[in-house]
Amino acid sequence: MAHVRKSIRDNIVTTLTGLSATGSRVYPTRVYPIADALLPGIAIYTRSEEVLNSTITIGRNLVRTLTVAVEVYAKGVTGLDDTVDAIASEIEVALAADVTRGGLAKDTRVLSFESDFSGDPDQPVGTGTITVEIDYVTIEGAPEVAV
Amino acid sequence: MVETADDRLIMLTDFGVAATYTPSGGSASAITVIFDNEYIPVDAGASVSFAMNQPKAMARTQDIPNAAEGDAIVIGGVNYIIRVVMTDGTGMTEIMLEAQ
Repeated sequence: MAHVRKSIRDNIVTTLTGLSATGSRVYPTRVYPIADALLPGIAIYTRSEEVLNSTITIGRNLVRTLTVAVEVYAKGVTGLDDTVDAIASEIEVALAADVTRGGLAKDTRVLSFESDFSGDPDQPVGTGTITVEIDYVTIEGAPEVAV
Repeated sequence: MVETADDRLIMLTDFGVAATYTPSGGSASAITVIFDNEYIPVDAGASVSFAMNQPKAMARTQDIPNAAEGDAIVIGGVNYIIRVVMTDGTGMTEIMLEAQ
């Protein structure tokens, strides 16, 4: 079995696949540059996780807060900010449709949004990063099972 | 020996390509430019960069004396809008291009 963190990441990939603007162009943990053929697209990264022990005795409950970055990549000569925002909107709606991430998590919250743009290439490009927090709980020694 | 406009034209003739330059609100003229369209990584603030072409051209300043953002140029059948004009002060001007 996989770590619940991976299962949550997989859930987000599935959730965000098929959105109207980005379709199947969803890239989990992409490390290579993004070329024209891959745009507009979404990259997903499980960035960090805080773990709190909520019980004292061995076999503790581990209350985890996972930080996920959902990144929008887009290109265009006009309305690039509108494009990024439209995709971000679709992402937020899709994530909110099931905040339990298929029963794996207690909650999913959008924490922040940042965007940036560049005119260096043949057409302007832009990104938007949606930072999302996801709460889930496991038992010590059993990170593959969400409780 | 001081480089002349004719010297620069020889260089463009040897290494350049034909282009059609149209200033905003003006008429088209045929010029020769050295065109470059290399792939570059473009950082736009997210985790990975974009892998994109960066089209730019070098022309004699006297061929595009009042070039400005928004002027049009056609190179190799591709329509571009000039976005940045960089005159080097020695008779050549580099222009950054946006594909249409």
